[in-house]
Amino acid sequence: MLVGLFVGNFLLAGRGRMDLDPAAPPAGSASPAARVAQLQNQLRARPGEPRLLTDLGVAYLARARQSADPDFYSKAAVALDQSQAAAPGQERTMTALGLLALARHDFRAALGWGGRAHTANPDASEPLGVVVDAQVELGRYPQALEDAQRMADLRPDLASLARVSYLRELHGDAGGALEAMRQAVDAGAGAPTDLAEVRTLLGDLHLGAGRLDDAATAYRQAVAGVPGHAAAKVGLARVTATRGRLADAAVRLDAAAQRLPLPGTVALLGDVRAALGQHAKAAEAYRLVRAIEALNRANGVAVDLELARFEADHARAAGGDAARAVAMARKARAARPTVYADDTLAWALRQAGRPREAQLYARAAVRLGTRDALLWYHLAAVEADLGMRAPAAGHLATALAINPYVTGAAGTFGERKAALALAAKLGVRPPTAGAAR
Amino acid sequence: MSRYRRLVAVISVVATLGLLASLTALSPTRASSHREAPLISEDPAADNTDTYVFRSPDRPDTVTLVGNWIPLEEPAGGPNFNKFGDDVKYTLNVDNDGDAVDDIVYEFRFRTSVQNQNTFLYNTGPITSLDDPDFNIRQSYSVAKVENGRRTMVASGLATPPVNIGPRSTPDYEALAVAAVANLKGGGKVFAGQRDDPFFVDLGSVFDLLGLRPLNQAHLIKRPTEKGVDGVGGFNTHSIVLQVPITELTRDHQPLSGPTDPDAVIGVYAASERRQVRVLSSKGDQPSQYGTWVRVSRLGMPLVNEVVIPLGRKDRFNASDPADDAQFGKLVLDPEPARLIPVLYPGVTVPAAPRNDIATIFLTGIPGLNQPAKVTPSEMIRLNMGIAPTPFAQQNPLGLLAGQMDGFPNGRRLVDDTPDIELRALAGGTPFTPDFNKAPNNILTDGVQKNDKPFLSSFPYLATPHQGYDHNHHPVGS
Repeated sequence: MLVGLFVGNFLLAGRGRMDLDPAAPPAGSASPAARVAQLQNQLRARPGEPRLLTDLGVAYLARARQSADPDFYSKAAVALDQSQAAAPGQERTMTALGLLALARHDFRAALGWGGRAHTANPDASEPLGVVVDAQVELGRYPQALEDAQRMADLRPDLASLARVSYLRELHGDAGGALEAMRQAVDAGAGAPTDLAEVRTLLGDLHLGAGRLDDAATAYRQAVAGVPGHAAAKVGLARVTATRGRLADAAVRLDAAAQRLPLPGTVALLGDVRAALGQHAKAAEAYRLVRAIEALNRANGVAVDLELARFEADHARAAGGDAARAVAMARKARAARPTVYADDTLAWALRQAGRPREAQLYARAAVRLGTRDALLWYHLAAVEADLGMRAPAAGHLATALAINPYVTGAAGTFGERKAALALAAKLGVRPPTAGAAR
Repeated sequence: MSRYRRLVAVISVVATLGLLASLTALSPTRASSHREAPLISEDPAADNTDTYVFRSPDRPDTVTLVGNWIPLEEPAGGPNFNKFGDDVKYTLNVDNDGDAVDDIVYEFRFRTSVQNQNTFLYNTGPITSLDDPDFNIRQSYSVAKVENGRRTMVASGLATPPVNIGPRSTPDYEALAVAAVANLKGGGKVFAGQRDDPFFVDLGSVFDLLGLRPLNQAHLIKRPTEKGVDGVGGFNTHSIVLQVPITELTRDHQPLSGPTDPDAVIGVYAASERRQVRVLSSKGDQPSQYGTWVRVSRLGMPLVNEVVIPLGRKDRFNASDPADDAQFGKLVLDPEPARLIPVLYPGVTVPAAPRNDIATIFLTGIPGLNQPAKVTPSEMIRLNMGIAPTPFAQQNPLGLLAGQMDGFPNGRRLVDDTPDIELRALAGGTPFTPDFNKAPNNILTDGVQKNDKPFLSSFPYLATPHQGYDHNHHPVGS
């Protein structure tokens, strides 16, 4: 027991931001499955060792991400709960529990764990990252700004800068968001996995501004750094689809979805199929999205907002149900009152033919001034339904100025056509595609 | 963060790697709506590994300072070949009056330039010179000196060599490295770039419950006796090597009269800083303001940060200033690894806390050797610059323990076997604690006594980096 205690403390002496096992393959290529197995081995030698349990929990989180199999969240939860029971109050364990809660979209729990981890070690920046992410997803933007500032003051590294970028993006500072994400890319020197991640986010920023070439470059750099990087490959498919090369995009997305059946990827594949007029295949993809989300839910992932958004977007497609979408959106917004929840509820109401109720939420969705063309297009469409031609025209012009393609890293590819039709109706002259480069 | 910090985590073996890779971004429904950015990010570019300072054996009127960053750099590092961070301020800090306040700070800033925007490739053909058009991704740097608050630019636009890729890309590597050595006004030299990691230690064993292969039979969990294995063997690092005349470092810039000169002792550490940002700029699309630099890593003495400072206080330590090191004093007086030794090696006893001997070696310097006349305890490598250097060929890895007054812990030379010296110090196997200065306390060893590659006898001293094409890890030590 004494040895165990000492050893435990000794182990905890290193936190290891950049801890490489010399025997393991370079970071980014080591397999999460192999790590899980190694940790299980070690735990057989030292059952119940809290640090190993925490590591195992985190390795399961990696496995969940790598495989898109949410079953691993449940396994992560078991390991982390055991660790927390054996050695309560360790910052690392509580941060990991916060990460699990974030992954399961239980943002209130994440906020709690992040806060406790921060109290346990106020000098560490990671707990504040959990707190910031939770605040953002709970729509507590002023607090998120405050905590992000504290995080960036402690350690202005890639993790902080990526959050700074997102908060600027949400608050309408597109240039500042781009700048911070570029800084995050600079700060990723030597860390291939993280670097690919922020390059992908940089691509998303470009895509959301209609800069397709810049977006493609950023995604390609991510793939060059980490071959097969799933999110970057999906980003490239999105660029391809936005360029109108739908068949090519479908091939890419099909491959991506086979490899990693993330609901976002499958939904996108369905949207591309639908845009190609392949409605049966689209419906098949949409059914798969609902099945994946049911599996997520069974493993404790709260997917209400994601699914509500999907249902609102597809309320008028085969298998859609506008009334159901409204109910889901209301429930989701109650749990996560973000600008995107407002937008989702607004869009669901509008799709259900209830623009008067939608208007309130559509306006709330742009309250931060977020430079996301979809939010502004949705507001314009709601206003147009209400016969409010002048504000609708103004907001549609804003949407098209932000992104002439309207859809950035989200959207179904039907929006551009619909937005252009609305522009013609309202007499809004759309910027030529490519005006935003 | 330092090497040991990394190493200690290796005890829990791949575990930590799992943490890193996995925490990078968990987004089960990316492109749906919940966006997550990397949380626990790796920051190797700002990660101090080792710091060295010694009087140059081939130019005894100068002192050489070495700071290493980027831990356990895999030579086959493509396509993401390692480089210094363009957004990191690297520093070598000197205290020349013992008050733990920086008197001279050398600052290094890097800038990457891509020659051919049409390719992501590091090089498009063999690199035969530093301005070879095929050398696509280059990094240049500047050196500034801040002395008593006054900042002067020492040099700028200095070239770094490429990384050592292999026989096709970098056929005559050392020629490129030599070309990257710059002479400074006043007789100094500087080099920045990839080198072989000069550290040597049996990572695999030391961090498996403080195992020492040659003493495997004495361990609580016995194993057959074995030779040590150099866990850092075959890995590279990125080094900044600065050589300056002794008179540039002394308080009054006068030559020293000898080892007893009151200005003879300097304290040295290396650090890295990142720049703070405002989350929201006051006005929409205006460029955001940059804030002040914030320290994210520091390292002087190879022990304190690594194994003495506990997990929960690493962040504070790394961000703090040596002048405030009193807050960590208690931890050094009762270092945890020392308490481990008698548990893991039954029958071995070590001195009881408070370990003033450890505090002397690691925080204040040894009286009569490398302790400044008036000293504020702090974590720095202290070098008495008045002591003549041992010729390179005769340097003994046990440094001061082998009677070489110019060896660790008086400064730190590349050859010095700091793990063995520190193990013995922790066990009390030094002249400070005569009762414990006996076997096995004073013969503790991890069985790795020298680097996997021979050091150079002249600047930049560190060995040629391992090439990506052909290298081996984990050579069995002597």
